[in-house]
Amino acid sequence: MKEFVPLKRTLTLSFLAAELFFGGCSGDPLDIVKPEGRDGSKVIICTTTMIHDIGKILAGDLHNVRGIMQPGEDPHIYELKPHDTILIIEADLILMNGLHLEAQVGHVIDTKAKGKVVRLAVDSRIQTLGSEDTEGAPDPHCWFNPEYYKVYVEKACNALSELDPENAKTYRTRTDAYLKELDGLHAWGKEAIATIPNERRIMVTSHDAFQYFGQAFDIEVHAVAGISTEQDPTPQDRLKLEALVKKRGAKALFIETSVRDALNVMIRQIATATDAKVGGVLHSDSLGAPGSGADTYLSMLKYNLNTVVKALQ
Amino acid sequence: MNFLAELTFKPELWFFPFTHLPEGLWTSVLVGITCGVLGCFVVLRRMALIGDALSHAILPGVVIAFLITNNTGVWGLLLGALLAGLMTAVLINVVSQKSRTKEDSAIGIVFTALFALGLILISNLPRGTHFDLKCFVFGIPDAVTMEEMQLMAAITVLVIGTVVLLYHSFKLVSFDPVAAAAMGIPVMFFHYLLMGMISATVVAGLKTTGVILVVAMVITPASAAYQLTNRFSHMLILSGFFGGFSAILGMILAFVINAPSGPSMVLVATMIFVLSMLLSPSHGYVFEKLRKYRLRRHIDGEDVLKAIYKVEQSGENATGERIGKQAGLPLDYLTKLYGDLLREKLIYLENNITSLTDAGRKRALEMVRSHRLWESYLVDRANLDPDKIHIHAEKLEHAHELADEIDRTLGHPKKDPHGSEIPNAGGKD
Amino acid sequence: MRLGPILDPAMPQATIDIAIKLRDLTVSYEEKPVLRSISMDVPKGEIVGVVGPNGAGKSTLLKAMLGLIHPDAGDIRYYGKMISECRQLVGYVPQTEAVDWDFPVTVLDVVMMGHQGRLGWFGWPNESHRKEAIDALETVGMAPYRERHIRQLSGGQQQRVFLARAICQKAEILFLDEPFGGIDAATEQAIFSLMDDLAGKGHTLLVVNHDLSVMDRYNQLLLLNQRVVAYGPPKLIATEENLRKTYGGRLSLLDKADSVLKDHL
Repeated sequence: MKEFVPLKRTLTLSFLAAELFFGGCSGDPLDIVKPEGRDGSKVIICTTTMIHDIGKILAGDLHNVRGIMQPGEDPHIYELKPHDTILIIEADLILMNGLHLEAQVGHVIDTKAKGKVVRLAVDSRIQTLGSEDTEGAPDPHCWFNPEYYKVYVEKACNALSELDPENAKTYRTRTDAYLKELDGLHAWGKEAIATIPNERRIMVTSHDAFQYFGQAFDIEVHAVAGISTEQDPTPQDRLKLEALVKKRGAKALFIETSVRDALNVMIRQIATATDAKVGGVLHSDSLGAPGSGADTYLSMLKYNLNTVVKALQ
Repeated sequence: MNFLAELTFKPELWFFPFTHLPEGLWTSVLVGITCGVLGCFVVLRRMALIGDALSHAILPGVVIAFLITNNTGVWGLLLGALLAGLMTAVLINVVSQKSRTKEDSAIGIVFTALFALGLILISNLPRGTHFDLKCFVFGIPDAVTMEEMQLMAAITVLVIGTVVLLYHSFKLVSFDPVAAAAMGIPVMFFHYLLMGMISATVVAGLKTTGVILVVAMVITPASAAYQLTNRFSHMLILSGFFGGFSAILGMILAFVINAPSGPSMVLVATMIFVLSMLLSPSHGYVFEKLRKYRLRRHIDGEDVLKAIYKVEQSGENATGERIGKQAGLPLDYLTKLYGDLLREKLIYLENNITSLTDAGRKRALEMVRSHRLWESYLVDRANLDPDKIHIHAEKLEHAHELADEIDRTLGHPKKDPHGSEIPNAGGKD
Repeated sequence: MRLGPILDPAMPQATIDIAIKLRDLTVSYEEKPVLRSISMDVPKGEIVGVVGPNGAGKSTLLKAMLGLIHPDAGDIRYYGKMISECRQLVGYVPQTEAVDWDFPVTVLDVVMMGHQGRLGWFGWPNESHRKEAIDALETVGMAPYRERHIRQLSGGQQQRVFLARAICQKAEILFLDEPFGGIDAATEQAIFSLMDDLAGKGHTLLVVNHDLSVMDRYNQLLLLNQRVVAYGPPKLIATEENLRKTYGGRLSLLDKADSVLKDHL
């Protein structure tokens, strides 16, 4: 049989040819990132939809503010795509949650980001909670406590002002206005939850995302899976939870939007096994889609509060 | 899914990996090359799943190393992974030698057991560290650092250096371990050396570029190379090249269609394999078809010569239509065949009339001789009915190299079963 | 029982070189004794056929003689040396079934492998090695096929290539494992001629067969069934009784001993 070595040569040649052909084209990959015609605007990348909301509120009209994750996507397991990598590399400022919420994305940000990276949840003003059986792994879902979310917004404001001192005043004004709104929501939420009688004030969700929510609005919180959606609960965990639900007479269990089906199915199973019903869907690690009524932080929190109150009253 | 909407035909994007992600790109290339080279041994020794197995089996090694060193220091965890990899090789060997288990089952048993052990150990760790470890062990090309690239480069140099230096020993040990052992070459040592190199490569590859890439690169490029060459050295080189090339093209593809890098590289490697399947000189579809076609042309060409001869014998002029009718071939095809025959200088054309050259006449006579000899053979030795043999002889006559042997076997017959004279050898009338 | 072959009394004893000497070779495989006290002298230039049914211990004998398994007791000497001292002296021609025919190597590649024992781990063959390999192929009449892939060879050609490898290795003692499986009479004839040639040049050959089809062609025959049933020229030792002893099943008492011992465990 004759040796078909020319194949190797053919491949090498064709690859070189492709390289030469396309070498002729120059261009800026940022075409997909920079807006048309604006000079001096910066690229600001936000990881989660909640943080993207902050970015849009503070600087949406002044700079190119982009989010990596889309509504409904789970930051614990999100897998990076090449265009996300481009965004991370080209960003002037990256606003992320931190505390290992963004697993794979966080890793790439650590190694590849060239601009400034701000971890909004990492701050002395935020007292992180551990989960029940954790040593040293803090719960990253801090944004559910409006007090802590205010810290997020403050930090974002500072970062933006540093990046773009010219507009510092604008950021300050917007931040102050927003903080006031957050205070209002916090107060309203507390009142709403208070309408639930004490013995019924217990909510069970798919994963342990609502501890800070419970802390902020004074309601007891339990969950099927731990603080990350990656793990599966052990059989013992589930039995313990079922026993708890029965003992405390929890009226409603809640599934979540962004988590994988398996966890939600477990909620339904526990509901069937006990007398509880599935009280509704909550937004945990993501805002809702545009037009869903929960596409901003404020509307999302309100939606969650309303759902919980309605189911448990 | 907005897949098509995400297709961005922006050629400048194709260079992004080169300019902005060189570590990820070139590390993937290194992984591709190294896995490609080692993959040749894996594929030839039928251990294809060893890559997948190792990527799972190293988990307990990593966890235990973490428990011992109590942090995620790179070298500690890598060492743990490597030791787990070697232990896997030993266990696979033990299970398959000491029990009624074949190699592939042994691989499955050992790696699933170790992986399960790893999962159980992990579930007992503090919840937070769990994903740290996972992120640590399984990387993605986009996140590779300079240090990781240097690590992979070192491994590539070591592996390729070892394979080159020990090339002939590796070749012998892989092909004929019994003879190698008889010649005094330590077969087991080479086996474990190979497994050690595979373990180290898998561990480093997983950490830099992730699971799917490593597992595929150990099998697919080598299998592609296997289709295309008969020489072991060429297979190694070609396989390494396919691995590296898949990485480059795969990363470009990933940026064009906005899909994860690792899987895109695997897709490219697979397409190369499919191409090699089709183009394989010995087994491939393309060359098979080509061979069949060429054979057909050759046979039909000889039939045309015969036809010209017959027409000339009957005293008429060999025009295109007559030949076409005699040979039973359409005119456009006939023209092609004329081209072949002209090139081989078996015919010449004058005023639309075809004539045989001397060489052509000789060949035609060979055909006639062959045909009549085959007929004699079929009647004489195969006991076929003389009325039925023409069709067979029409086919067999093209094996005219055997004519002399038939002549000898039959004792130089002068006439065929139908009474026609059999021409002499040398093609004289 | 005679140890040595029955020799021609006209030949002066002093000039006879004993190529292979086995003394009381006893080998177990997985705790079971497979070969018991095998003793045999093979002079230089003989072609010995090792014949016996499946399970008689033929492949174990081969493995032990190639130094691949350690005997429980006994001695194997090649021209007085132990296998570990003279590995290159002994060449192995494998069974067709045992070869990986899909491995990407050519005929010449296989023959060149014969050099590897001498070249060592890091050895690379050079032009003179290549020439020697081609000469070895000439000896077996396969030189025109040297660039062919091994899968393209017929049964007889395959045997010849591996013989060439042993020749290239400069092995003086050749072991052939079932070389006559699945080849026709003419090819068989050709291989025997080749073997006669090699024997004439001073090689000693030991050929393992599981049946009796070609036994007359050997100088000496070893009838093996876990122990030596008989050893000598076929005409003399291939008696009905000896053949019955070889092929008529295993030694019942020894078998019983095996199972009694197992029950004790």
